[in-house]
Amino acid sequence: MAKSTQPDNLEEELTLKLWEGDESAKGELLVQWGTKLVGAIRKSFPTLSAEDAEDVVCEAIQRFWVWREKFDPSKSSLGSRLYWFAEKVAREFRAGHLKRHQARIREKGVDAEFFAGVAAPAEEPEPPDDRGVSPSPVQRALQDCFKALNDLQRDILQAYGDAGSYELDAASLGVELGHKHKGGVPIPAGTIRTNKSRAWDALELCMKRKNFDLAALGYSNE
Amino acid sequence: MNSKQPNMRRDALLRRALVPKGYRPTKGSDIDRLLDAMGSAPMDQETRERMLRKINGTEATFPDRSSSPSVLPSELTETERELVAMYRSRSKELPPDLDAKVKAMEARAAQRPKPDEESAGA
Repeated sequence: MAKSTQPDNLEEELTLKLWEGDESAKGELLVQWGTKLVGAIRKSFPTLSAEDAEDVVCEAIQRFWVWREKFDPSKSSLGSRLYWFAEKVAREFRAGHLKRHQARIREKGVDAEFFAGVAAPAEEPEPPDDRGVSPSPVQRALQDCFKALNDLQRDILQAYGDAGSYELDAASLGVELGHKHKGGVPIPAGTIRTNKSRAWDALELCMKRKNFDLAALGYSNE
Repeated sequence: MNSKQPNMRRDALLRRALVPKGYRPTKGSDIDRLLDAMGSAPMDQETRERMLRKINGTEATFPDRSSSPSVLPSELTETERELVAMYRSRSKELPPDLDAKVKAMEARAAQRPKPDEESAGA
């Protein structure tokens, strides 16, 4: 069982309120975890604005409320479970899928696709490049190569990385980045994808100069 | 295998490089550690009330924040305003001189206090 960061009795009381459907529990979740969750989400998704991170946490608490009866305190703490929800919402938002999920929840009261993954969140195996606390040599080389890209390409690659397993909607990203880089003119989806491809080509070349062959490491650009 | 999977693996590799390991936890115990590290400063009342309205569904989350800051109409001629509308409706770039003028106005508009800040200061 994950160690709780809240005194056990507080967490137990709050869990009971959640199971009983006591609406005041929503406010207590916010007071207990709101600031920590917003801070953690901003660290994990540094491209999110403060307003977006706040909305991610609100959306996560809303969805947790829908799911609350299934919460099992023997499997996770309230905080870690809320973070798990918030991380999924942040990825949905970054991928441009959030509005679709929100609409589904409004229409059906539940989002089967979202909640299907809640039962047993998989702990992904640690990739070889990610062992240890400090960045691995591959990660350090990638950081250096990433810095050499232009602003737009960096934003595009970071958005794709933040979207995780969600397939990113390039048109939606084009609208967002159009406001940041083109004075409000949307960047066409095709241009986003072309820039992404070119950015990875540049990264591959840069990594080769640093003696890292991404394709040979299993990270092909296809 | 889905043809998109190789790209997602590569995107994930980049995320691992760009976001420190402690900020992308997967285990419950790591998440608890991250949350602990975020401190315990209380949320101010205004933020708490706003977030609670969003949680209760009485205020929308993720409103459209992408609309351009309002421009001051007196700074553009009528023809220039029409040109801006025409170019933007066609998703085309503005001519350089007009683009520079609009950007300067938007930058000034962005620095102006928001309506609620103005009323709070009044």
